[in-house]
Amino acid sequence: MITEIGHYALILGLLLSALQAIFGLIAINPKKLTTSAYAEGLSLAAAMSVFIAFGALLWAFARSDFSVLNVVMNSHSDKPLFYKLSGAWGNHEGSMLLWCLIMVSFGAFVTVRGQDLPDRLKHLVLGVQGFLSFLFLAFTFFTSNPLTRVLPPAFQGNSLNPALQDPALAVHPPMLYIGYVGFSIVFSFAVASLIEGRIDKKWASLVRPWVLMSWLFLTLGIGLGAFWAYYQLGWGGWWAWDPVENASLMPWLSATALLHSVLVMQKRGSLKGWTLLLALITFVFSMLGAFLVRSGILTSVHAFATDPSRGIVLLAIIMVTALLAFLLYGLRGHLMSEGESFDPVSRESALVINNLFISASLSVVAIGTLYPVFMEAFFKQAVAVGPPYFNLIFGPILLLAMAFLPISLFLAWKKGNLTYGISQVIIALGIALVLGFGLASFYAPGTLGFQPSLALGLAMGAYVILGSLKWLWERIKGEDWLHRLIHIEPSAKAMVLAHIGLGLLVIGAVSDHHGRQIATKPMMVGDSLTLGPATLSFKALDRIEASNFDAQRAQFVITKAGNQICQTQAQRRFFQHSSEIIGKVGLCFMPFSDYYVIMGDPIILSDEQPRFQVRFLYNPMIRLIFLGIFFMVSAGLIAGLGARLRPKPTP
Amino acid sequence: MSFRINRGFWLIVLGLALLPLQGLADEIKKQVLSPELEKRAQYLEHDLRCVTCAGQSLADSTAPLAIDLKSFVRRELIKGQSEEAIKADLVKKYGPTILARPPLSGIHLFLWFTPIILLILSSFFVVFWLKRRRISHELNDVIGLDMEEKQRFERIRQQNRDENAS
Repeated sequence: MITEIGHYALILGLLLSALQAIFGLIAINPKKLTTSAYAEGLSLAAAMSVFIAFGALLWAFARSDFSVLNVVMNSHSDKPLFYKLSGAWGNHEGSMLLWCLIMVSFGAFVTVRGQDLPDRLKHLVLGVQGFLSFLFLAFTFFTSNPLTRVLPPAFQGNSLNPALQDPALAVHPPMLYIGYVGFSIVFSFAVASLIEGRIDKKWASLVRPWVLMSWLFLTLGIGLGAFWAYYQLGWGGWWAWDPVENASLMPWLSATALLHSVLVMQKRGSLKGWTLLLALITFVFSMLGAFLVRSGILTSVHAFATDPSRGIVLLAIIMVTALLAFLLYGLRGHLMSEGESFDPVSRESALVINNLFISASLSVVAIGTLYPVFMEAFFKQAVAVGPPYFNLIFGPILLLAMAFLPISLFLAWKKGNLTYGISQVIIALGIALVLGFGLASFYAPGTLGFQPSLALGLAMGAYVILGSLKWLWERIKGEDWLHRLIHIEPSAKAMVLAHIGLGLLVIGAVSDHHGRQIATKPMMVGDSLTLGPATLSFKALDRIEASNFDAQRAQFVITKAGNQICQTQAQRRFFQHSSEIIGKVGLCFMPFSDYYVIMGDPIILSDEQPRFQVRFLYNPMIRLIFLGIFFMVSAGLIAGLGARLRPKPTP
Repeated sequence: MSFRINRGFWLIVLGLALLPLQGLADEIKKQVLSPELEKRAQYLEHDLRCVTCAGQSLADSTAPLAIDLKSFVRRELIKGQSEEAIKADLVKKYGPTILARPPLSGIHLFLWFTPIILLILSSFFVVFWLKRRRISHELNDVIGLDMEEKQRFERIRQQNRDENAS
């Protein structure tokens, strides 16, 4: 019964969104604002309906209602409640409904919190948002309905992919989706202002909290995904330049560029056209991200829902939306005035250069990701584009961007002084270069010797961190520096924090990339394995049971020069319902580097004793990567709250 | 309802695990390479994909096939084969997707150079735009010309420039 109510609510939500689109877009005629005001109420009703539909799906999962096809396919009565619920969005249909829920909720949020928005802008935003919601709800209802019943009901479900039964991955999709879909509001604002044919600083200050919020969740989602890949997938890495990872990186890069350009627009009223274009592109990339994952067009570990026909419908939605938006931009983009002037040497120009580098790195990711698809489709040629390509092309662009970053902090708005900027960062640059090259020559792991890319990566990471700290110090230095540090404005705090995060991320990434050490050996209890100065000893083996799996658990002790430095355990979990074996990695924090133990498949050698293929890794500085992402997320939070709390934008 | 792990299960797992024994035996009596060859082997292993495991290089993987291929790479290097020859061999056997990056030749130059060309072109564009923007703003701010006058001014200016150039 509850499922039927949910089903009905889904259809209602679809119709209400269509009405919301129609009524909202009536505001194209500025004389009809009393009619278009119906879009406000409709947006609330649509959100309520889709909320009920999603609630019904959650209910079906929580109660393991095996008369619902989606529950049969993706759940099992023995799973812990938490993973039953996360199973609701751990599959294609459920995740599309979640996408729609977030989309209509954000529309309703604009209605509720947008009292100070001009009526026409608000109604147009709701109209565009309603149109997008309608498209995705229609897609969900007609091609991917999660509430379909199955007759006769199944006795037991097929269970959720065990690799996905993990706290980080349970919250990873909602975070990512809040990020992706948050940009739909930004997109709607951009289209609305194109329809209106005018845009000003106020627009930027209205949109900036949305951009910050979405960016923050996207960063968090990608970060959680990377962390999950690191400790769950058990190959020792955190980022594989896998197509699906790239699909989330593309909107992230575009959003990062948008974050910077919208700031210029808010402060100075410049870069209007470019900011609008980025606002459109970011959501198109977000949808493309969803499409690439969902269509299974890219071979990937993540493509758990491969159905090309759905992919084509989704692609059609993206094409229509993008074409309409870019057509509108082409027709009306020139109406936007140029804004205030600035010198080629100024903060504005520096941010234009920042956008240039980010766009270039975005093009690398886009070309590298789509190239195999393109070659396959047009030349019938199978190729793979993997990490060596991205590291070789993306890396230098990133380092170049980082080389520019600290100086731009010291350039004033409107007209800056390059000599002053350089004089402020030259010491930081010197220290960073000495540190980078010093550490890289001192630390030449394995047999590979001195690595210039390691030296440059460390140097640029350190340079960005030191430069940001120097900037902060210039802002607060004096007698009461501590007081000033606490009371510095949120956007400045966020800027310093985010850039330090970037520096940490790059230092962690290059250290891990160049310094990772691996040893492999078939081991049984009592055996040991050495890796550099560390020794791994296999101490004990036992069996543990949980509600949804049985596991073999190996206890390991890691010693260095005879002293025990840590104790850890790795597991091989056997999930009966899906007959899958999932490894559980043993980790030792040191505190920024990790020792990482994976218990592989059992084998029998000539002496008839079963041994486990054990991989023992040393990942230097890898925690800095996640610390850096944490810094960026915190920065987004601080800036977002700051931007939201400020009642009126400062002129 | 659910079955517990029993001896039968372990026998199946062990049985499955026995299949790749050949590769593992190779791994165990691992070839010891000279530092120079070891370096080349490691670089090469990062450039080759483990075709059976999604998204991993040979260097990262412990899949049976990856272990086999790693010892193949090392054997060939000891024999004195070049990287190119080893890659060509592997491409013949496993198809071009064993390469983690397409070769820097032929149609694949498109992949390698498009981003770089895009960056260079857009840099020129940005520099040009920043300069032009300043000029138009100066005209606006200082002289107070309207749009049409500005365009005329730009045309005359451009003509002068062309004449000077020729």
